[in-house]
Amino acid sequence: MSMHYPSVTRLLLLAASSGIIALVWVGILPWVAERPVVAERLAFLEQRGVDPSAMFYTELEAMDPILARIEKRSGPRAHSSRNELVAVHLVATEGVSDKKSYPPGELGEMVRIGEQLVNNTQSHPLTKPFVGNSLSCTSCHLDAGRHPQAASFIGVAAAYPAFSPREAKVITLEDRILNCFIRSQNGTRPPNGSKASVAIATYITWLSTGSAIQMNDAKPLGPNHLKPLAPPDQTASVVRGKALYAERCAYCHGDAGEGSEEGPPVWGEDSFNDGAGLSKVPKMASWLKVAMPLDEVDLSDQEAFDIAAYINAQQRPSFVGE
Amino acid sequence: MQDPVGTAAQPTPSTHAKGISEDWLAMACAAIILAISLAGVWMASTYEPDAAGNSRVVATNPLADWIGKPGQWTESPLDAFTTSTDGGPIRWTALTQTLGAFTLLAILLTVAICYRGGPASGRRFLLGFTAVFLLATLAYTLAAHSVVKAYNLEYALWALMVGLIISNTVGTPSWIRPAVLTEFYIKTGLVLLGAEVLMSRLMALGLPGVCVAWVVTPIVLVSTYIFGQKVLKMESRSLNMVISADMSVCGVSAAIAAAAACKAKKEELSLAIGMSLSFTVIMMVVLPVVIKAIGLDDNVAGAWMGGTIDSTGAVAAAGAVLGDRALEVAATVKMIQNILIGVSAFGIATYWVTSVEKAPTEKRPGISEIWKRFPRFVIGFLLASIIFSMLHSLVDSGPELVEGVIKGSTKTLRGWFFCLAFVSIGLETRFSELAKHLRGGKPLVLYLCGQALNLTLTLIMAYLVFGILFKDIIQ
Repeated sequence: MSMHYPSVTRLLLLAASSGIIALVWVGILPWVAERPVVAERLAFLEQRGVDPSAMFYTELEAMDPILARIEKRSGPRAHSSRNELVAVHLVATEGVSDKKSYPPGELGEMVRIGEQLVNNTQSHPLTKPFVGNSLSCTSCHLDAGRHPQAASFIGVAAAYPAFSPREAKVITLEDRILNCFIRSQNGTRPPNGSKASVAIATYITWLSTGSAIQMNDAKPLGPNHLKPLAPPDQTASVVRGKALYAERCAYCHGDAGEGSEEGPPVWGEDSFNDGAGLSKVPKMASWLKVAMPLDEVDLSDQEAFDIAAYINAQQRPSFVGE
Repeated sequence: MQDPVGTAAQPTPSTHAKGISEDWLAMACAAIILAISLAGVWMASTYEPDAAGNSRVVATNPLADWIGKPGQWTESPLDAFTTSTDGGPIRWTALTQTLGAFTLLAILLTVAICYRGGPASGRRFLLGFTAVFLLATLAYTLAAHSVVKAYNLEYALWALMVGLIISNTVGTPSWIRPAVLTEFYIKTGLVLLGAEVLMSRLMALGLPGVCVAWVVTPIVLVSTYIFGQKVLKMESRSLNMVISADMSVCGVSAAIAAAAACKAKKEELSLAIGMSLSFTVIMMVVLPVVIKAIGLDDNVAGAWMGGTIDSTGAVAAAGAVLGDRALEVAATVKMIQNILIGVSAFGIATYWVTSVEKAPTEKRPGISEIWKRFPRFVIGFLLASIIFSMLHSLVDSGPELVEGVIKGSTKTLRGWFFCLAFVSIGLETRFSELAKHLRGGKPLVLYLCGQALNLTLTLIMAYLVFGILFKDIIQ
């Protein structure tokens, strides 16, 4: 056992074992992780905060809410909920002007997770199973919702619960977020109260720090909602839009709207479905006016409408409902 | 734990020049880590007004950002060491934190070894430790793959495998051996684990929880031990005890504590956790299916799974399949059982000192003799548990402080100690020694019979207390 010069056979054995490990972990396991059955299980566990390999209860993320609930039930020593109060208080005083001022503790962690979900909706394990295209929240809510005009998240939480004419009922912020998954994300609705849902709501609420609560009794819109653009003099033209698209948009979004490293798909199978807000020409035009092209944002009202008409005249998945 | 055959010839680093035993050294190291963490949290904690205007403590652990381990990954092992930020530059958080853990442990342990054996042995240790830590990091990375995690295959298994591969192919190089200190790592880790055994959590589910976790469990533990001795006539009492403990109490963590308390051989511990983990994977998947098929009430089902599935994480995974309430009951019953390992380790150590270790002719040892033989680190483990339980329940803002200490640093370091221990076990075990114990299949029979008894008794008790006596305890 304590040889100083291991024989060639033994070195080969070590190399072979290492090779097998590398093959299994770098080749086979990542492949297994993508099989639907396994992927579903992974997403389920992540959502519930359960790590089956936890050795002791202190390693189990799901234990914290359980203990908090038990303590709340058993009376005065509900320290976990007190912590939440403190965290909320800190957010209220610090504001969000400084990007680093995440709340402390679990809440701050939740804000960060929410931010990651908004940025990587189509690839993050928490949301991936619910997304049916290659868009992320930030594809439309620019700068992860921090953009002041382009479908901004800032202040949104202060408008909820709000009346939503589309559903003809009062909905919560979470409901509204989940609606995006079946329309703009062309996927399925994550469960209300799931980690993904709570995390995104937490992030948006954090971005709404300091906004005065003003529930919206007419529309599920926040104080910085997209301002509707008045229809221009000429009717929107698909033909003009096509030329404008080739000139101003195709470089990032592709000649066939398929998207690239620089920009998301804007029509086709990997884009939003026809139930999404942006599939309506006036809304798309209003958004383009304040958002595109990134860093230039110089479309005239007419140009915005023409491009919107062209984009929304193309094939995209149809909304199938709940 | 005794030196297994074949490694006894190596220069044992546990010869103590300063007359300080390994137990005391392990306790001192753990105490230093606990004290530093507690002091750090104490000083960094701030008081903030809450919504009602009262002053409330916000516990932050200054060590938390600097200590960590490889994180979960799916596609590329590199992801285990990075955190993705919103499309911005890659941050190597986990790498920094792993290096942080290495630096802290290397300094602390090297100083401890220097203190005991002089600067030369300290230098030899540091060299070997770097290698053992690298292997532990590899083991953690293997264990952190999301598929591996999802099926309850804990790092202990991969740490063993990594060590075994080296020792059974090229052999463990002699320069690594000074850092192959299985018992030292285990004892230090166990004292740190003591701080996580919060007795104040015992009554989380009230009387019914105690009935399932603290009445059935000891009955199963004791009866399977007697069964192994009287019926199966297992040669090794310690192997018998370790299997009984991991099967009845809580898997790997209980196996480690029991093995240390009854001085089980390294390969006996390896065998026990290997068996426990394999059966846990099966039970984690099968039990929820069975429960759905027979239509058990969520509370009863949760208590049944919490009391029977070995590993804590697997209990939660199985509970989550059945829903929120089953998850809550299952995880809480398991937590109460987790806490039982303090009492179990104490009981097993006492039994070993008073009954097993004495020669047949010898009469029962007196109190002073028991004290002399009693494993010191078990006392350290209990002390840590008692001190932190008291802090948790008696001191104002104690829960925040204790959780800051555990979550921020000691939990992670305890994990590293156990991981180092299992790499060390692998590095000094031959496959042939493992196979020897499986011969005749007695351990397997013991596990199967014990688990069958456990399943039956726990189901009866769970049904009795959660289904009939305290039906409305959980709304």
